[in-house]
Order: sequence, then structure tokens, then C-alpha cells
Amino acid sequence: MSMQRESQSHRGRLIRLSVSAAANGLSRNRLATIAATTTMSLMLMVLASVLVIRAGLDAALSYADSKVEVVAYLKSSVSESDARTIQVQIEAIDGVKGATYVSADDALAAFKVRLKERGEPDLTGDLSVNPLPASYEIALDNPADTGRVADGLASISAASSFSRVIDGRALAENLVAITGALRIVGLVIVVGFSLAVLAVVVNAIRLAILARSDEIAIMRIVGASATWVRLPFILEGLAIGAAGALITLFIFGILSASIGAVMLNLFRVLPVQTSAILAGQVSLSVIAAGLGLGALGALLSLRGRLN
Amino acid sequence: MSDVAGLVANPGAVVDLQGVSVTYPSGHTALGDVSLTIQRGEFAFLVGPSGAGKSTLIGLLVRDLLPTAGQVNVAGFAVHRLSGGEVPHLRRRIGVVFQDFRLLPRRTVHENVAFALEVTGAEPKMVAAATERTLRIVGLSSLADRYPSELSGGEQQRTAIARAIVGDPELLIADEPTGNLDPLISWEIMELLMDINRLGVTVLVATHDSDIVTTLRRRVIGLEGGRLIRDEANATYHRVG
Repeated sequence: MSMQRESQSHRGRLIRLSVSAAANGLSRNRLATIAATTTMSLMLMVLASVLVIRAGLDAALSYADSKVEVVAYLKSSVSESDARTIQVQIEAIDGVKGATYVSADDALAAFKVRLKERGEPDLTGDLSVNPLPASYEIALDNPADTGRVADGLASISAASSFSRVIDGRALAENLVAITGALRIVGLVIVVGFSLAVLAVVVNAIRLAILARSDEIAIMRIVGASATWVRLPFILEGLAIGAAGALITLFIFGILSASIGAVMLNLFRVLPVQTSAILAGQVSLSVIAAGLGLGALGALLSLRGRLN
Repeated sequence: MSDVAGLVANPGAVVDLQGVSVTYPSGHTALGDVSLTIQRGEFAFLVGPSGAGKSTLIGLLVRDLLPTAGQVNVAGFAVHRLSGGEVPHLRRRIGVVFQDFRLLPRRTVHENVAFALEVTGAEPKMVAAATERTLRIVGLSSLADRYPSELSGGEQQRTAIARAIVGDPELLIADEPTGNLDPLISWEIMELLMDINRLGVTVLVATHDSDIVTTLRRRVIGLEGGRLIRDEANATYHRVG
């Protein structure tokens, strides 16, 4: 019991001394600390931007995925009962997840809803007949398979019933390509910036080590353990990371309304209710990246120096 | 310290070197096949010209260096096979004093001495008591609140000695402790080291000061070219005859 208390107070003294040494170190090398914190914030802002843009693109992609990839419009001569029999043939095509029959009336109703959503005047009431054809909206197992499924539609016996087949290949391929490219570009940018941040943090901590080299030499010779020697510098790295993360989150907090507006404009489809979750995820990522890079930078500076 | 791996065979010895060599990757042999034992409570001088291997020997004792051959046992620790985590425990059993004092300029005398205990995680009450007791031993109680820049060379070295012994070490190593001091002050420092020895601490003093060595007539361990060339009791600086 008393040993436990002793080890707790030992830890308390370790933390108290390390925090005060870290605070001293940061204020003594003010310029290096400011440079490291600024670079850290810039990097974390890039990271947050990449995460937000990626979340938007992901949402757009999953929206596109969930939508029909291939639409087969039926000739007006095909009766509704004939059309129903075609469904079996369509669903037998390799790569088709399912086919939904959309009657001409359904199509007109959906068109009216879209007009209303966009705030455009509904003039369909003036039409004497429904000009829209019935269709099959065909969902795919894999959005990249639109070409193969379109070919399959052309080869079935009911192919002559289709007036037109539209495949969403271009849209899907574009989205897949953009998302893929952004993942790579985003990764490259984030990794590149992280390396720059590491270099600056390492530099700041090395300056702190240099400034305290006499003290470290004494600590080593009187038998301070590695934890006591290293902890102040690791705390300095963590402090730089935490400060960078807070600055980034503060700036993002101020800009969040305009970011939300830009995102909605860019992607249109970003569901509003996920923005709180997204903000949470981005905040967590920014804090984790800041603390992680700060600690890693400190560990790298200490490597092989304080044995 | 009985829980430490590799307890030494000779329990009466504070320092026990057996066939110790240090050869650098360049091929230079800094220390060649040195064997020597220093018993608990002894006072010994380590002499020899520059480059003789004195610093290498001290480096081995505090585990700054590892031997390329042989065994180094210090204060109950088998230093040659000590794990990194055990090194601080060895160093808490050894006090080291340098020619250039190495005091921390932004800390007072009291703080410099207490620092040695604080960074090992010692309890504040114990730190305060040990620091005050040690400052009394070295005669610096009245200067406890001064900064190193406000002290004479001799007072600075006393502070450094206080820092070295505040943790009750078994072995005190003084590396040229009087190298920066004038003769009168040097004698005061040597008297202090002998007082500490009388308190039971084993003392090893590396020095070039022939007057001191010859006058005090203690054990003299002589190195030259990395070899142990003499080890005599009650000896002078220069070998007689």
C-alpha cells in the first residue's frame, strides 16, 4: 500500500518536473517553437481539407453507386405485361444486382418531384399525353461493369423491346477516377507535409536538447533514468502537436459554415446530418495527427542521443 | 543490490577489473589487459600522461564505455554486461567530479546539489535533508542560495563534490579535480576528498598534480599507453628508482 503510494508520488514528481522542464524548453526556444507550431497547423489544415473533400467525394460516389447505373428505355409499343416478363431476362445478365420497372406514370411522377425540388414551374399539366417512356433501372454489382451489362442487354432476346439503353459508365468512371486520384494526391500531399512537419519538430526538439545539454549530461551522470531524461522533450513534441491541432480546429471552426456551403455546392448530395459526424472525425484525425507527429518528431530527435 | 544480475565475486571490492581491454574500431587500443581491484574504503590516485588511458578507465567505471574484452565490476554491478535500464542504478552508486565543475548556471548551490537527487525521483523531504547535510559536510551551508557565477573556483568545486556525494555513493571518482584551481585551493579540495574518504566512501582521483600525489603518499595506480605499469601503496607521483 505504501509502496503503491510511493510509486504514485514518484510518478507525480516525474510529471511535475518534466512539465516544468518542457515549459522552460519551449519558452527558451521561442522562435523554433513558433516555427514548429505554425508548420504543424498548416499541415493539419491540409490534412483536414483533404479529409473534408474526400468525405464529400465519398458521399457523391456512394450516392452515384446507389443510383441506377444502366437505364433501358422501353419502346412505347411494349405493353406493361410484356415488359414484366423482360425483368427475368435482365436480372439473369451477369453483373446485374437487380432491375426495377419504372412505368411511364411513375416516370412522370418522379419528373414532377424533381421539378418541384429544383423550384422550376411544373408545366406537365399542359401535356395531353405522357411523353415519358417506361424503363428498367438496373443496379449493378460493380459500378465499373456498366459496359458489360449494356452489351448483355443488347444480346438478350428481348433486346428489340428497348428503344434506348443509357449506361452510367461515364459518370461512374469519372467519379471512381476522381476519387481514386484524390485519394492518391491527398495521401501524397499529407505524407509530404507530414515529413516537412517532422523535420521542423525534430529541429525544434534538437534545439531544446542542445540548450539543455549540460543539464542532460548531469542527469545521466547522477543516474537519472531514461524516462526522466526523455519525458520533457516528448512533452514538448506533444505540446507543439496539441497547439497546432487547436489552432487548426479553431480556424476550421470559424470557417465551418462557409466550408459546409462550398461542400454542398460542390457535391450537392452531401447529406446535411453527417456534417456533425464528419466534423467529429476530422477533429479526432487532426488531434491524433498533431499529437502523433509531435511525439514522433520528439522520439526521432532523441534517437541515439540520450543513451 | 542483491537483485541485480551478475553480482560480483569479490564483495569487498568496489572496483574489480579483470583483463580489461578497450580497442576502438580504428584499431587503436586505449586500454590493454588491465586488471586491478580497489577495496571498499580505499583512497587511490590514478596517474599517467595524457592519452595513457585514464579517461577510458573512468569511462568504463561509469559505463560510458564498454570493454571490448574482460570484466568490469563496480559497486556490485557487472558493468560489462549491464542492461541499459540498469545503468542509472549503477550511476547512483558512483559520484563523479570533473575538472570543469559542470554546475548548472541557472541553479543555486542548493539547487545544483538537490538536482542530482530530484532527477532520480527521490522524495522532496529526503532531497532537502540530504542536500542540507551534504552542504554542511563540504562547508557551503552559508552559500546555499548563491549562483555558481557568484562563487570562487574552490567553492564551485565544493558544490560539484557535494552534488557527487549527496546520493551516498560507494565510489567517488574525481577526474582532475584540482586542474583548474590554484595550489592552496587544491589542497583544500584534497582535504575535503580525504574527509569524504574517512566517512567510508571509496575515492579514486585521476590527477597530474605530482605535489599532491607525492605529499599524500597514497596508493598510486599508473597507466601508460593503455597499460597498467604500476600499482603501489604509499607511493609518490614518480616511480622511485
